[in-house]
Amino acid sequence: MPGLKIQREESRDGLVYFELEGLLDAHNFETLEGLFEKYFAQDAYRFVIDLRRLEYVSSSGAGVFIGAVGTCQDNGGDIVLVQPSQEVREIFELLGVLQIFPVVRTREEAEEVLAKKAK
Amino acid sequence: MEALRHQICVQADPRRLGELREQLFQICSAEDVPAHTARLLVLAIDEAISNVIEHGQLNESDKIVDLSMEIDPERIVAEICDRGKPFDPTSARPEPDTSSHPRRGFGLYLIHKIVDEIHYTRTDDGHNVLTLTKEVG
Repeated sequence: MPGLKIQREESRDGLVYFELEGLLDAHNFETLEGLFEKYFAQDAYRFVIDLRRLEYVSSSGAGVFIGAVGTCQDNGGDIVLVQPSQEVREIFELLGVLQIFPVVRTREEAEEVLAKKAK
Repeated sequence: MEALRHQICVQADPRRLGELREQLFQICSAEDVPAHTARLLVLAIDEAISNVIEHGQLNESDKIVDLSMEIDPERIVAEICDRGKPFDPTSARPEPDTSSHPRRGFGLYLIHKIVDEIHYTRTDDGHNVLTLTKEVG
């Protein structure tokens, strides 16, 4: 049964990259929530989230992004989504939350968005 | 045409949700349910059963949810039956206020947004029966 895989990377200028693959649901959303909390504790608030290979997100998974983007924006950062899959985009649109995230096509575009928010 | 009825016995355990979704997608595919309808319906069922698991306060001996799906060319009717505490999710849910960045509370809103009809009954023998109807198309 495919679950959730999260690959992480941190840049020297404080950007955090997550690449999500698989399924994000009521079973595993706390894994992602815990990762955000870990970075918030280190004052990291600028994230690039690659969603190309995330096939499914339920409301509990979407809630992690919605809560985290508030914390990021309140602290001068943001969460930029890279190419949400059709399935994920559809769920974010149903929830009416896609507009609260910058959505771009490449990691480079995401870095440009976040560079403007650099401390 | 007579509707086809599928019965699934679901373990009320979040670790089993992925397996359930896969099973539902297989049923929808075998019944030629359009992919878009199937995706939304599976999401609504996932949300409803997740709510039972999280909020139903099921006793150890009641950790089973009975799911049935009737599929005909016009509509799909999913019935979710559990022995959790009474909970009527049929009243309309307001759109989440995303400006306050809430982390939870989107599941019922999604269910209402996805399905065409929602019906709830609490039976005399202590079961919650939630019926979700989605038109195909």
